[in-house]
Amino acid sequence: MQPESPQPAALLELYRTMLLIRRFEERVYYLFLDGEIPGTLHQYQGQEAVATGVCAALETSDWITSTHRPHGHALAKGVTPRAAMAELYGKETGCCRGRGGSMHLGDPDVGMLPAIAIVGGGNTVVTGLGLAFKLRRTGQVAVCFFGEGATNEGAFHEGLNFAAVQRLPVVFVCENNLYGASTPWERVSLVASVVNRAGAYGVSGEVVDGMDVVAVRQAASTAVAAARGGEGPILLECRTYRFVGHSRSDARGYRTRDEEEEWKQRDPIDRLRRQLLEDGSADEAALEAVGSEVDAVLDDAVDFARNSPDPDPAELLADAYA
Amino acid sequence: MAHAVRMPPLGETTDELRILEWLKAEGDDIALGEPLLAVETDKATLEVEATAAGTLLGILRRAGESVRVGTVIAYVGDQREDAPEQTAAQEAAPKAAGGDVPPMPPSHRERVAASPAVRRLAQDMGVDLSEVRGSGPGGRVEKNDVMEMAGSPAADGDSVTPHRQALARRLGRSALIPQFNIGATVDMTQAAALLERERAADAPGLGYTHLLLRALAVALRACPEANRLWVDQGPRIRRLERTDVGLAVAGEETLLVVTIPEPDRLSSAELVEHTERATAEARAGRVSERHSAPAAVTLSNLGMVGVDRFAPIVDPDQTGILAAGAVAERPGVVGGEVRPVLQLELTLTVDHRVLDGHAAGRFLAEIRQQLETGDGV
Amino acid sequence: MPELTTGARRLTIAEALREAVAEEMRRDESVFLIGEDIGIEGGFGGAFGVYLGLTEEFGHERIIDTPISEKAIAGAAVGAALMGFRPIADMQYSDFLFECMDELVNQAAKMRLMSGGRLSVPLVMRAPVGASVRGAQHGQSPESYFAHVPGLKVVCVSDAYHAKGLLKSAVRDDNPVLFFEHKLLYGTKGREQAAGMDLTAEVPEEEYLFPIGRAVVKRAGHDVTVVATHVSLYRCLAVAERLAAEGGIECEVIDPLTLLPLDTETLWASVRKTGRLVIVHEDTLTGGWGAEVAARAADECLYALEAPIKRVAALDVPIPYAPVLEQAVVPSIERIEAAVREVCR
Repeated sequence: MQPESPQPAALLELYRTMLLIRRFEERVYYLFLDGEIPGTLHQYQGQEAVATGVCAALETSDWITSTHRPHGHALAKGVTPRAAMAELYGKETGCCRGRGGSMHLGDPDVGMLPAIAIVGGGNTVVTGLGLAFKLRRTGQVAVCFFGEGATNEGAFHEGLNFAAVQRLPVVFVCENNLYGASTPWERVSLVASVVNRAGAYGVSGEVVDGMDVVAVRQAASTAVAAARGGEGPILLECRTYRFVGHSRSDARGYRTRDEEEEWKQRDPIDRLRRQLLEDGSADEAALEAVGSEVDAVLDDAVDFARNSPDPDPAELLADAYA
Repeated sequence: MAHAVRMPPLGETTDELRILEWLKAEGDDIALGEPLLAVETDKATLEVEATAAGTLLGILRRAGESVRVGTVIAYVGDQREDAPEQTAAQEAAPKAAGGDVPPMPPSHRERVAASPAVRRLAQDMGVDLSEVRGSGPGGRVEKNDVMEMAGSPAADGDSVTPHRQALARRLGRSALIPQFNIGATVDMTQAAALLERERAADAPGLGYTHLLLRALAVALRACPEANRLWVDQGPRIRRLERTDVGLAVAGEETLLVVTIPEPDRLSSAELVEHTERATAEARAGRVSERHSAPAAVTLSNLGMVGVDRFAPIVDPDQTGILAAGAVAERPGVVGGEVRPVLQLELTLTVDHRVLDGHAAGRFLAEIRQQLETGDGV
Repeated sequence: MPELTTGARRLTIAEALREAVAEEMRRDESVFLIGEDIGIEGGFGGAFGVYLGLTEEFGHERIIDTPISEKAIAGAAVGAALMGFRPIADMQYSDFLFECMDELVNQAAKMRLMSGGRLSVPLVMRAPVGASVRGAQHGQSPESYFAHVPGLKVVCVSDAYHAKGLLKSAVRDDNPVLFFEHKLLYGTKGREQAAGMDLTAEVPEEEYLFPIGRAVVKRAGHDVTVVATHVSLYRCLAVAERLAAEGGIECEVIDPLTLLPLDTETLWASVRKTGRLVIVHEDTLTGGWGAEVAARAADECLYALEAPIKRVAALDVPIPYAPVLEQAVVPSIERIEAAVREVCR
C-alpha cells in the first residue's frame, strides 16, 4: 500500500515513465512518417498521466486490458521499449512476434493482455480475468482501460454489471479525452459525466484529474486496494486530452487550436517537472539525466528493432491454433 | 549524410498525396518536428513535420504535384552537403493502360457429355470419347459405354487390363529375337550349407533366390561379354559397366522385372533388404529409379511352385534370362556311386545376336561354379 | 475406442452431455460453467436441462448464473480462459451467438495469433441449433459462420456416444470450440424419436474421448457418399434404408462431426469409392459449410466423380413459423431422396 504523499524517488519514477511514453510516441511518429513503421498509429501524447498513475498502483502480477491506443499502457505496465518498438516494426522480436502490431501490444510476462482494438471489447474480457482471480483467490486485480466512447457500447454495460454482481476484483478506468475519434462527447451523451453510469449498476465511481499523475495514482491505489479486498469493481473517470489526432491521418478539424493550447498548458509532464523542482525533489540536472537516459533507451530500442529479423510466413499457419 | 524526406503514409485510402504548399524554403534551418509542408490526403489537409533537424537542402517535388507515398521529396542535412541526385527508382511506376479487352471467339471444339471419371477412364483405355455413343441421360457417355468401345464386351470373357496388354506387346517383341537355351544341373550341397550359415549369422531372410542373384552377378563380372545389350540403332552392342541383375516378380495379375543393384557387392543382409524392397515396389506398381536400371540378365525362379525346369523367354531389352527350378534331392553320382544329391536345374536362354553357344556355355559354367563352390561375399 | 457390449446402457444426448460435463469438472478444477439459468435452484438446469442436478455437486462458484448478457458470458469466458481456466459457456439458442460475435471472432479466435502464440483461449461455447416451430430468431442453424473463422474449432453432435466423447475432447482442447447440438435431438421429455429414429445410443461406462477432427461412417455403402449433421443425418439414414430396401442404391452416410477442421481423409476415401457426393445440412444453402466441402471435393477428387456434387440445405430464407412453411424450408426426406436419386442416375 503506497504512502499518502509519494517519496521523491517514486515521483521521479513517475516522471521517467511519462517522459518515456512521450518521447517513444514522438520518435515512433517520425519513424512512421519516414516509412519505417508500417500501418497506422493511435498515439497517447497528453494522456501519459493516466497510464502511468494507474500502473504505478499495480503489481506486475496484476493484469490490464487496453485499447487501440495502447502504447502508453504498454510502457507503463512494463513492456520493454525494445519489445514494443520491434512489434511496431513488425519484427519477430516484438512482444507479439510481429503478429499483433500497434493496436495489439501486450505481454503476458508483465500482465498486459494484447490490446483489444474493438471499442469496448476489453470491458467484457476483463470480467473473465477478474473471475479467474476471484475463483483462484490469488488477490490479483484486473484493470480495464477504455475511452468515454466505449461507455456507449453494450459491452461496457454488460461488463460493468456482471463485474458488480459477481463482486469481481476489477477497476474500470475510463480515459475521458472528450472525443471519440472526431465526435465530441456531448454529441453522444446527454449526461456529461461518465461516472454517473456507475451508480446505475450499484458501482461507486470517482472523477480524477487525468493530467495530474499524482492524483491518478492516489485514486488508483484506493480503487485497486478496494478491488483487491473483495469490495467489487470501481469506475474511475480520468479527465484527460490527447494532444495529437485520433490517428496519424487526422487533421483535427473538429477541435479548435485554442482548446488544444488550453489543454497543453496542463501538460502532465511539465506539471510534474515544475512540482519536482519547486518542492526540491529533484534538480534540473537530475531531470536532464532522466531525459538523456530515456533518449538512450529509445535509441537502443530503434536500433534493436531495425536490426531484428522479419517473421517467417512459413510459420504463420501454425499460429492460429494451439 | 543527408536525411531523405519522404512523402508520409498519411492517406486513409490513397497512395498518392498532393503537395499543397512548402512551408520552408531551400536553405532554411529546420528543427526536429517543425512543419515542413502541407499536403492534401483523401480526407483532409495535413501538415507534415520534419523528422530530422538540419538545413533543407533540396526540394524535389513542387506544390501542386501528386506524389506516391514513400517517394523522396526533399533532403535535410548539413548545409555544406549537396543534395543527392534523384534516382529513377524514386519515380512512381506509370499506370498500365486500360482499355476494353475484345471478347474471345467461341470454341469450335464440341464437348462430349461425360463425367471426369469417365473421361479419365477413356483416356487410360485409349478410347476417343467423340466416337462413343452415350447411353446415359441426354446422351451422356457412361463408364460401360467406354468399356464396350475398348473392345471387351462383358458377354465374351474378361476384359484385359492395361498391364497385361502391355506385357503381351513386350512378349511379341521377344518372339522376334533369335534365342536359344542351354541347361545345367547344379549340385547345391555347398549352397545349402552356405545358406544355413548366413541365415544363422546375420541374414535370416536369405534364400536360394539371393544366392542365384549373387552367382549371376559374379558370373557377369567374370564374363563381361554376357553383360552386354543389343542396340538396334547401328546396330551396336552396348557394354554395361555395372553387374546389376534383373529379377522377375509376379504380382496378382502382373509380371514385372526389377533390377537388384550389383548383388555381388552387397552383403547378405543388404541383398535380402534390396530384394524385399524391390519386390514390394513391383507389387505396388511403383518401382523406384534405383530398381529400374538396365540389366543384361534376369533371374526367373519358379522353384517355389514346384517346377523342376523350364525354358524362359528372354526380355526384349535384355540379353539373357536364367530359369531356376526347385531345389530338391535327386539321384546323383558321387565317387562312382548313386547318391541322393541336393540339385537345382538351371536353364539359360540368351539372345543369339549377342552370345554364341560357347560364350553362353562359359557364362552358365561360371554360374554353376559359384553355386557349387562359392563361399558368399 | 472401447468396445460396445450388448446390454451397455443407452443414454440420450442430454444425459451424455451431463455426464461429460460432470466428469470433466471432477477431473479438472479449472473447468466451470457460465450461462443463463444454469444453476438456479428449482430452475431449468440450462435451456434443455443438460445441467440439471450439477449444482448439488459443484456449487455456485463453478456454475455461474449470469444476467441476460451474452457479451459478458462470452467475454468472461474468454478472459478466464486466457488466465488458464477451461470455461464451458453456453447460449440458450444459437441465434443469440450473434450478440457475442465480437467476443468469439475478434477476441477468442484471434488472441492466439495476435499474441504471437503466447496465449491461448481454451473455452467451449455450447449452443442448440435447429428449427423447432419457434420462429425465425429461435430456429437458425448458424454453424457455417463459425466454420469460416480461423482460430475456432466447430463441432456438431448428433448422437449420445459422440456427444459425450467430443464434449470431453472440446474441454481438453486448448483452442476455442463452438459446440453445436440440435434442439430436437436432446432426447428430453419423450422426444426420443426424430424422423422415426431412436435418439438414444450406447455409451460406455468407462472413460473415453472422441477426437475433434474425425468423421464417422454411420452407414456403409458403395453408390453414393452422403454427408450430413444433426437432424438431417437422421433423415439421410431413413432415406438410405428406403433406397436399400428398394434395391439399387446403397448409400454411405457419414457424420462429419467436426466442421472445422474437416476430416477430409475419411470423406475423400468414401467419395473415391462411390464417385458421388451429396451434402445435407440445416444451415442455409448459400455460403453454407456444404459449399466448402463441395469446393474441396471438386478440387481434390474431381477425377473420381461420376456426377455433379449436390447440396440439400435450408432454403435461403429465415425460418418461417407455420409448420407447413418450416417443413418446406428445412431439408426434408423427399428433397434428400430426390438429390440422391439424381446423382445416381
